[in-house]
Amino acid sequence: MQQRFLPAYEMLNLRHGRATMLWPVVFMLRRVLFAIGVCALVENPEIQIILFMGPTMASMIVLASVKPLESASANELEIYNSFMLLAMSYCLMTFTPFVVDAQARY
Amino acid sequence: MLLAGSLNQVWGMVNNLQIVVHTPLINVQFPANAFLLYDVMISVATFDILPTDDVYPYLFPDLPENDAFNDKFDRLQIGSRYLVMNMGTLLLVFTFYVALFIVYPCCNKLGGVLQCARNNATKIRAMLFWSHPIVFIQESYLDILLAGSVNLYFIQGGELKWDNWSLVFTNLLTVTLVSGCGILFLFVLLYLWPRFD
Repeated sequence: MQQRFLPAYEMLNLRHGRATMLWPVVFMLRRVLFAIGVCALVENPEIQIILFMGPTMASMIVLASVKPLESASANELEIYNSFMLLAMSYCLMTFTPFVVDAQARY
Repeated sequence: MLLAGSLNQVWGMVNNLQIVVHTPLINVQFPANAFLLYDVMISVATFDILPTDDVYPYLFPDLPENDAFNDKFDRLQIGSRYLVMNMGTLLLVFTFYVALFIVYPCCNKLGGVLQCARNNATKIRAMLFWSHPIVFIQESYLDILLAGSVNLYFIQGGELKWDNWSLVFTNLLTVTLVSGCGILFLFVLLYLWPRFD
């Protein structure tokens, strides 16, 4: 079965147990939530950003705890990428109506 | 082996690039100079390498003129409400796989008579079941979901019409691709995960 559906396991290190499969689930969930946020919540940029932050944080947690990817360097690279995206989304938060004072916002 | 390893790195990079490049869709003011950079990167991230925007209006002439979902979508080359216009080169790749799904049974039938048909059927079987469709959906996941939700949003709003073949085609394609994304998600979650050993 693994041979047949190999691309679904691609890049995964299958020796790290059942939790490895969390990675593709988080991968897809992240995109679904982003698309829903971007299309349906245009009036609420702060919720859009939270929907972006949550799965990024989740993927970072999965990467750090399960180490699902093949090599150690790939895991570290992905953790770094997720961290940078998370840091960027924290900065984005300051440009939304979440910050009430318009002077401080821009 | 070497190629497979480097290809994995490329997929990993493109997956992250897709997310980064689409962040300006969040409804926050982005400066124009940032968009200049995103304009260059978006064609790499969405695999939109062919000038399909010039060709599709001839293939789907009946699609009514419309505006983008909003300004942000327009600037990130999701400039139409219809999936066929927004998918770009990925639509050609999808058409190629659909064509293979039609050719495969023919080759299989002819395999009893012709040696070359048998060889081709073996090659196509290795591609189609199920490695290439899974990679296609995984890599274009965000693109399909964004273009699909823009299209579906207007079905829900009651604005979308089924008047002509172009509209029927784009609506059916939207439903197919978005449900394909959903099926892959459920397949990994409910089938592959419980059977993991």
